Amino acid sequence: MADRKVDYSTLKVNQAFIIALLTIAFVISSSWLVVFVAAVMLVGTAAPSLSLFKQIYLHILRPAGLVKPHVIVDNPEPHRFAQGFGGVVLLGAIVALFAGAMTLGWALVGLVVVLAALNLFLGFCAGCFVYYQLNKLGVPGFARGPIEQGG
Amino acid sequence: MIERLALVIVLAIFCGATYYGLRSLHIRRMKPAHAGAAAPTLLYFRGDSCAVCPAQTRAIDQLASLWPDSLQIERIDAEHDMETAARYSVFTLPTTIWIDGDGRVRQVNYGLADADKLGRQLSLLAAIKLDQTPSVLNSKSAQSA
Repeated sequence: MADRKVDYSTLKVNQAFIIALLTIAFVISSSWLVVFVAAVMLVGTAAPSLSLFKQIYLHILRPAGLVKPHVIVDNPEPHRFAQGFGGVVLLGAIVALFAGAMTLGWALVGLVVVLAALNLFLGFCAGCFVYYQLNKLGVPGFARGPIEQGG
Repeated sequence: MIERLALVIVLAIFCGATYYGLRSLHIRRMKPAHAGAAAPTLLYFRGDSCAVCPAQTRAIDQLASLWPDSLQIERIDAEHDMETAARYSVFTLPTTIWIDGDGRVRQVNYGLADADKLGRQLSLLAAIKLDQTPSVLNSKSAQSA
């Protein structure tokens, strides 16, 4: 299990971009910016190597010394699930926004911002929590349990 | 647009003020304990259902190995010792609480606190000079990545 590692700096940069871009989207009332963020999140979930924000961290922020790596023994799957869940919520927001339900749409965007902020500032990953609860329930596809000490 | 920007700024300030205010209140309301301990004490509340607690345990073990004589660590299973968890108003796991040598609660961390952060907090409490800087901890982590 020692080879299962997650660079938490990648996650933090990802969350910071999500919060910043969705906040900007709300301020300038840009549904297309929400579409862009949702696309980045969902593509990053399906293929982590293609995550735009991760690439910015790896090729710009880290080499420039602006963000230092913070590697922790952890499972990457719950974090991918959390990002994917956020992307799906943003899909719902996009449908609402383009259907004219602006309050609902921006409320769902706000929900994603709040969940990302909880993770970024308080270290609480709601999606990871849900993943591990589903793992405890034995739901197929949620195979990874918390990595125990020494494991 | 100006209205929305103002709303975002107000919400951000409100959330930040609420968080820091509640945290300060939480620290002040915690009763003194372990009076007379020679070294700062770290209370570590964990639980079996806490996904990041293993990572927190490793961070604390790393801290303890670097400064073995500079602190005391108490590990509390909040899911079994609910009385102690309630005494310190623990509402999320992991939670780490620093208690100084006079038994006063000085700092509380909600969620994962890495070894660097805990080391900085310890240095403030104990006023000790760090022989190993946080950059050493990070470089060790990066090498093992």
